[in-house]
Amino acid sequence: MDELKRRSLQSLLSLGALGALPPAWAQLRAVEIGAVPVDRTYDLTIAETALNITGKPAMGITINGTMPGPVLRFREGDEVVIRVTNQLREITGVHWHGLLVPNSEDGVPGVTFPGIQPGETFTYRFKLRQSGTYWYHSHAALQEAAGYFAPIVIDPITPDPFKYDREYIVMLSDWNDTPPQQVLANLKKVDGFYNYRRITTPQFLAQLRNAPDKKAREAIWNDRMEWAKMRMDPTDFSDGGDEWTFLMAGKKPAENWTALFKPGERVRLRFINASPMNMFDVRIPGLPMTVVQADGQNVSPVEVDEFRIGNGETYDVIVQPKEAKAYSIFVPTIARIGYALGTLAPELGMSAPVPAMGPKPVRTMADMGMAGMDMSGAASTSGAADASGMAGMPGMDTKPAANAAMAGMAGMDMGKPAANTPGASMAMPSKPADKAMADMPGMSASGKPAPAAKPADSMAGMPGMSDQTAAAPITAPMDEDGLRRLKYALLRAATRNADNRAPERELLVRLTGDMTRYFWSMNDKKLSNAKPFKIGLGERVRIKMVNETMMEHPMHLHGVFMELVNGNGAFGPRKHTIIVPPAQTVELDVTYEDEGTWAFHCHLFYHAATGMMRLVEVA
Amino acid sequence: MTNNYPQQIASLRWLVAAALGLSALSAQAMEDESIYSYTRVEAGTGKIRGQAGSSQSFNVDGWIGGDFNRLWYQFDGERAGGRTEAAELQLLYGRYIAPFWDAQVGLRRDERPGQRTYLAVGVRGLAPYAFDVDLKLFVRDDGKVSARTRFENDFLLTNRFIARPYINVEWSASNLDATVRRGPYQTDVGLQARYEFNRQFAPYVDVSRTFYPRAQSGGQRPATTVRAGLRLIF
Repeated sequence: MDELKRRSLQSLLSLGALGALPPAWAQLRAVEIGAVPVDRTYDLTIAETALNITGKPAMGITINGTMPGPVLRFREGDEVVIRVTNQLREITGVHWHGLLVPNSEDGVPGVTFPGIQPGETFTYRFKLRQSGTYWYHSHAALQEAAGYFAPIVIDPITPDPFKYDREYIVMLSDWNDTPPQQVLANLKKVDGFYNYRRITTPQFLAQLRNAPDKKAREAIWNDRMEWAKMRMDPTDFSDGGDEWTFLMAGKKPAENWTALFKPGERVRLRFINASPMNMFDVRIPGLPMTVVQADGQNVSPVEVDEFRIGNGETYDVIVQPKEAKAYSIFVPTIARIGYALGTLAPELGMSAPVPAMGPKPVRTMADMGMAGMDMSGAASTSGAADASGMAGMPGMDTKPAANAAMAGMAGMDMGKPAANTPGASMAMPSKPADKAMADMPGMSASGKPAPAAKPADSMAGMPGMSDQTAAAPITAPMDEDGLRRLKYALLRAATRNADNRAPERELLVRLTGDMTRYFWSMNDKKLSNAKPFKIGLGERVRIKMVNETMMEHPMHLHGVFMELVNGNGAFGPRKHTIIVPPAQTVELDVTYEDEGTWAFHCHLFYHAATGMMRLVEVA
Repeated sequence: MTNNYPQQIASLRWLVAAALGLSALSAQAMEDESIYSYTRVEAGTGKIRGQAGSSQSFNVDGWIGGDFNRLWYQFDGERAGGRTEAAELQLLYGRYIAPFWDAQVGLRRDERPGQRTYLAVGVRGLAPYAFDVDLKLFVRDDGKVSARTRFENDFLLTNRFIARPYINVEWSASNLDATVRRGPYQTDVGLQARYEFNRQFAPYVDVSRTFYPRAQSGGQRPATTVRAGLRLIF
């Protein structure tokens, strides 16, 4: 061992004595995935660990002593063995988020197995049937929120259809020194316990005063009264607040976690949102990002400036910084209560300007589908996705540009593009959509959005078209503020989905809850007083999720990939976690190939813990 | 302090859980049935205008239980000039009957001004436009019926400086005693302004005016009370 190595080992050991040892892949200098060995066997120890994130000592739960835990790097097709030792004083269970595993290996205590008792070691064994970016975390109580999560990278057997020179994991999370159980207890005590960003009476009066005319004034007044009447808070984008710190690879913004590149290289960044209660908008100012994977599954490349990442989701992007300068990886929460930050740079010690987060978002009644907007329009989303009938249309022009425009159209954000629901994938018939269509080459201005999405479908089903989509990226349409944002409708699976049957039946899942009492539910029932959903093995089911609350819910279904119904027909993206924006409807198709009782829940852990979870019996 | 709080009341939770027929399972499987609690204490001191000496108030309001079944407790006490003028305790079972609303039934016990026991029935919740509403009907141990209606609303001057106007009306269905006739017999209208250093700790100033609309001759005269105090939530 040479002197340098010994010294770094010593410094690591002393760090370990002080608190948690930073995992190798998440030191201030990011470790390339290429340097992480591929393995089939891992030993993980779960323990309470003293951490110091904010400057004050606090207790967390770590995997092998670190937060995040160690990256598991596997190869597709391998049979893997993971031994998990529980040194906590309570039951635990590790869930492999997004991995298709036999039910007994899924890691949900009390559902798929009894859980790992304190002091016990449990051995997980499963064969990897997929590749891509995933992660693992506790599925017991609120343990995940205490720091109990880590990434998984599975190398593919057949190389991915895109090239890159280096790759890094960008794991996003949040932290509060208050233990998660106490955070939840506080949310139960006082509605909006952590929300100190409400609209005050003087702010409201100023809005009225500054309104340009009587009509605008009336609109402001009516909007406010409507919220008050509904006893809801338009600033409630997150249940969290100022007490939260946002982390990238477990590091605070001030620590300047840095991923290195050589100018001109293509860098693959594997984003994972492990945050228990915050969604993020990811941007690298000055660098367009090409999204190549969503939830571990390859998609047709989409070039964007920003994407929203819900809790539990992963996105892989390729960036190609050409200049020898630093770029900020800037990740504000969607409520703009704070941000995670890191740097892409040619060498350590560099940093780039940090953009302003922008104003804190406020929902309008239009966002909530009120104010005369016809919510039945949501149904048109399903019409748009109907792949049958249009297949084999003669004379279709398959220019990528047209494809992009149409895909973008289905995802048009009707309300306020800049502010509120960039993730929305509703095709609502309304004026702006017609206008956008008029601008589209080759489209008649009298066209309606729903049928317009059909040609995109039919292309998917056209004979002679390769299942492997061309690598030329489509470009996300630009919003009013000049940013090109990813929308669900732009996600198109790189390969055709295996099961193209029309759904045999529909399962309606309304997302419900009582905000003031802080409990959440599905179809008005909490987990504890609900019967499981039943789905047949091999049955093709359309799940229709209708969000009746005023918060985004990132819904995670275990044991299967959900094929998002987004106008891309048999190329609907395969996702394990799907954001359902407030007052909107999202549809997806599933075909279970593994039997057992699986969990289906909101990945905002405090929502799942208070009832927004359901079991799905597959037999 | 707050961090130890769940342990401190763990045994109480079991007791309440047993009383309410809930499972007080911790963490694991059905964590959505956990027992939670809320207690607000407001203790203030000041003056009733026109009276010698100081005046104190001590109010506790809270619940313990799950989302659907809760044990509610309320204590309201007042002292003036070194004498306890009013001391009232309510213990109520509350059932979630609709979003934002609980139905309540239980007992009220007065130690001052007179020793009395009441059956209490009511609803409590958040009305449209975010009014906190507490409506209660009381049947006294001698069969006399009265009621109490209370409305409050928070106005945010800033996110931490909050004005809370309230109106509390006491109603009588029959002659409760020599000074009270049928109808509203006591009305408190007030404004509490508090500054929330955080949700759990807020000093406040409270100004209220008490009217006795139906008081017979010899009854009490309107009075203004000014108090400063501390509001704690735990």
